[in-house]
Amino acid sequence: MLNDLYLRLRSLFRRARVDAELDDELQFHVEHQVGKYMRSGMTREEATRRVHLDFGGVQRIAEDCREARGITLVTTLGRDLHYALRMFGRTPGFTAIIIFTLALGIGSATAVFSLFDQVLLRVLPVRNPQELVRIHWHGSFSGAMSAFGGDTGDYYSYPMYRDLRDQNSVFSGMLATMKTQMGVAWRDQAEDEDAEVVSGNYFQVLGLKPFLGRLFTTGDETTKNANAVVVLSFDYWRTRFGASRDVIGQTVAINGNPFAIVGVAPEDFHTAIGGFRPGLFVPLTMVEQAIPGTAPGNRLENHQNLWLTVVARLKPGVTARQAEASLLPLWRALRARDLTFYKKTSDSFKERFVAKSTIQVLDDSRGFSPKRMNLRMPLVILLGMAGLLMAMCTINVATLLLLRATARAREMSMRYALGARSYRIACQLMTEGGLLGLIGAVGGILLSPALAAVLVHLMMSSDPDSPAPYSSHLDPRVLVFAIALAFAVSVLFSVVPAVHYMRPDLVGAMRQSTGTASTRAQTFRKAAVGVQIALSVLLLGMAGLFVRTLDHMRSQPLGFDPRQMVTFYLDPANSGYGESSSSTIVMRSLDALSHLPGADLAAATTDPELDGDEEWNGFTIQGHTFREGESSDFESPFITPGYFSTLKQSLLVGRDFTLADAHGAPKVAIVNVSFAKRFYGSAQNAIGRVIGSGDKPDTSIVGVVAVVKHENLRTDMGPGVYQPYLQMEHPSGVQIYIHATQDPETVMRSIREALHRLDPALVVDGLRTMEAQVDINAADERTLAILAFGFAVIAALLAAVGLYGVLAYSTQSRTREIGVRLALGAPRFTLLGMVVAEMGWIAGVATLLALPCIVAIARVFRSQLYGVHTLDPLTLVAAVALTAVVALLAAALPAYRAISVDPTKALRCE
Amino acid sequence: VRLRRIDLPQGTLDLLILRTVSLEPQHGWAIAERVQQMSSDVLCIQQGSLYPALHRLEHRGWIKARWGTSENGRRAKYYELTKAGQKQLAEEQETWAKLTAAVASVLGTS
Repeated sequence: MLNDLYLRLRSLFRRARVDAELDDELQFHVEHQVGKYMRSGMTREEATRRVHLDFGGVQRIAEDCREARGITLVTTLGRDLHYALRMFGRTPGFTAIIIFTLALGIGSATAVFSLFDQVLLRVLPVRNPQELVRIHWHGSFSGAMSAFGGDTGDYYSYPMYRDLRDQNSVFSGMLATMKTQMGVAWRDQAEDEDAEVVSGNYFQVLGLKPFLGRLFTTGDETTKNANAVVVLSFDYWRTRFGASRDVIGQTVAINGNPFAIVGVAPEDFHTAIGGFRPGLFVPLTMVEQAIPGTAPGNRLENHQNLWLTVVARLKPGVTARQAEASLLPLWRALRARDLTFYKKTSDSFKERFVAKSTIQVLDDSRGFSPKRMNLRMPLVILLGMAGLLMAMCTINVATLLLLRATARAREMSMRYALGARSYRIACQLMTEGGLLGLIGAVGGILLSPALAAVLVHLMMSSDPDSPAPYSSHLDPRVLVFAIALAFAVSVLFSVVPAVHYMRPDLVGAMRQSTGTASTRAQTFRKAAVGVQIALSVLLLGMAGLFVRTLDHMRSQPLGFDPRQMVTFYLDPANSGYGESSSSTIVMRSLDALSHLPGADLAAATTDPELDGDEEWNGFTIQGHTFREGESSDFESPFITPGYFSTLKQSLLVGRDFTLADAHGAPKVAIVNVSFAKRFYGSAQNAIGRVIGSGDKPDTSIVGVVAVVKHENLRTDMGPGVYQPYLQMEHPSGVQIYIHATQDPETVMRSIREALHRLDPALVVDGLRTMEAQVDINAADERTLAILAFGFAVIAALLAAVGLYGVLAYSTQSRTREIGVRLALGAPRFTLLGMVVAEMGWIAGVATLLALPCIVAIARVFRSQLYGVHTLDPLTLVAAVALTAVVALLAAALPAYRAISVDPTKALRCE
Repeated sequence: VRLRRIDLPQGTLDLLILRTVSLEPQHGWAIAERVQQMSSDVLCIQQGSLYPALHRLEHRGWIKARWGTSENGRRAKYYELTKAGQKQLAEEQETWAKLTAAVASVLGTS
């Protein structure tokens, strides 16, 4: 054992000495054998020749001896690495291109994967997240709902939640939560902060320990308005409260009400809602203070007010299917009870409400997240693009390595002739490839946080007011991904040249200094370039579709004019105003704002334009009976007088609201033309008709306005009823619009000051120009367009490099042929055609294959497109044209070389 | 009479080397010569496989090498059997005897 170790170490560290001894030993043998043959009568020359014939290559025997000692793996690896580094040093430009290509591919794939992992794969940092489930219900419903995404089936009334929680037998716990924003005043500084209104058992069900103080218990969910306590998130505690341990027990004002700080949540925990970063948690019994005046009715007692998302923890050993089966009878019993709160219902509604209502128990280990649903498709597309790019990088590097290997044909043949075995040469090539892969991976890993930061920034541009819930740092999971990717890719691109040299054409290579390529390698190169061109056309085509979508969105008529407009959100309730004084302060603010220098008009609505939300209310329409299944809910903004003139939204018939349309005056409404046409046939016919919110028709229609893009840039507002803010029963927060006569930026600067003069407690939230708001609404589309375009440009560059490499090589290896043709009088123009024809043929086939793929893939992500057909001729033509330009540029230099061959030199160089 | 030389059957090279160096320490050339002599020129060791085999056996610890001076005064590498090598030789001889006996009896009965 020791002896063995000694030999190994000696072989490793004293290789020169050991090799010298080996040479000595073999030389001794040769001398003896020569002597023997000479004694049998041969001359010295004859004897020496004979010995060498007997012996085979001395080098090869030496190699076999080294191998027999069992140390070769390490030493040959060392030697191969040394040699590989020398090769890189000799061709620095070539090596740099390869490493850059790899770093780019690995870096971007890693960055995209990092986001993909955080948004779609990562589970919540809580105890046994795989036990967490969400309950989704199906069935009819009528009532109020406050949602932050998802559909009705994701939301529950408080009584329903409480009864499900207390009566089920399959969950070890069941929490409820609602995402909201609250005005937080601390040390005379007021600001709006993301927050969650949660059940008392919230932290218990998740299995969390406090970082500081205590977390909520069931004792924090007793009765209405009795639990004025708040838990801070770790990040909010650190940034806003200076990480002070003294804050526990102190009082903070939330929407103007005092709350005692009882604890700080653990550092890595953010929320049970995926992709959300709330700063505070408040018990749901405090909902009146936490979410003042936003929805009619009492949230804690009303069975027809859905606002809570529910997360449950399965008891150990209970499956989701078992839970479903066990819950269904309980669910239907509770639904039957809820039905008693409906005054008049049809039989079919009853049947759909109870007997046909079902529930689904769904995995919620990653947290309920409508944002994730929105990001899924774009992220899948991005990951697909990054994958294609990585494939292109791999093919590119393989092609380049193969080209270089071909240029080394003579060297390889020489090594074979000297007795090297093919697997040793393959090892050498694999080592070179592995080293390139390693350096490329390091480059990619260094590059990816920057790329991920860009991704996070772009992805979050649709939600600029919230801190990004995603990080651009690489965690170990992502690092493992990067390394595995680099390894797989290295193996792939190293195998190509290695296989190529397993069976080289020795004689041919030695004979011809140009080192002609085997047809096999040539075919691979052509196929590789073809694939790269096809992928480049594909990515350009996809990018084109996204760019066209964005362009269409931005240039379409909106129904109002976003230019010269400034907007922000103002909620007096967050500054301690009650329902009675809210509208007064809103009207006073509007008055002050419209007199700002550089502004002429100001108006407000409860239902902001283009912020992704809708506000619906139920209506009755005199003279119209709603059919079974016909919705009586319509978009229902409450607006101040002058709203339409401020937004430049056309008033088609009738009049605008005035200050006289207030409480006590006859109730009036303005409908949009979509509503008018649907119920009265025309805009003209709608004037004077009577509708009503709730059961009694008491509101006269006094005007009809044009339809606008409201929820987002993709959809027109459906039938809508505008009502005076001054006649609203429970005035809520408003979105304010100010029309600027000068540069909107100047107006923006004076807004905070103007409101501060009215009341320092007023919070100006999300102040921006309306054009910026439109941009935010198109942010997802723009993100996709930018990223897709970026990927496509890189892809085109890679294709150009690949094409250049192959053409340069094939032109060079045909120098002789071209020389001969020129000498025989072929016009240079024909030779140019020869080079271009080869490329054109490859590019043509590749493009023909790529075009149907664009259409097919576009169909898969049709949901992401807008105003553009999957078979958009402009996009397809542009993709092909761009690729053609890039290909021509790549071909220019080799083609120029081909036609500038000097026949005398070409023929002489042999 | 011209004898036909036989290439060594797989696995017998190690046995022959071990046996040869068990008589006295030898250098590589002498080992090859000795095998050829003792087998009356029937067995011929391929020179390309002799040295790798020697290094392999040394690596396994069955033989060890030291540098000495040859009969004509030149520095040469001599191989000799180790304790482990003696055991190995005994085992291989026994296996070989069994094998040849078995093969002979099969051939004899057919």
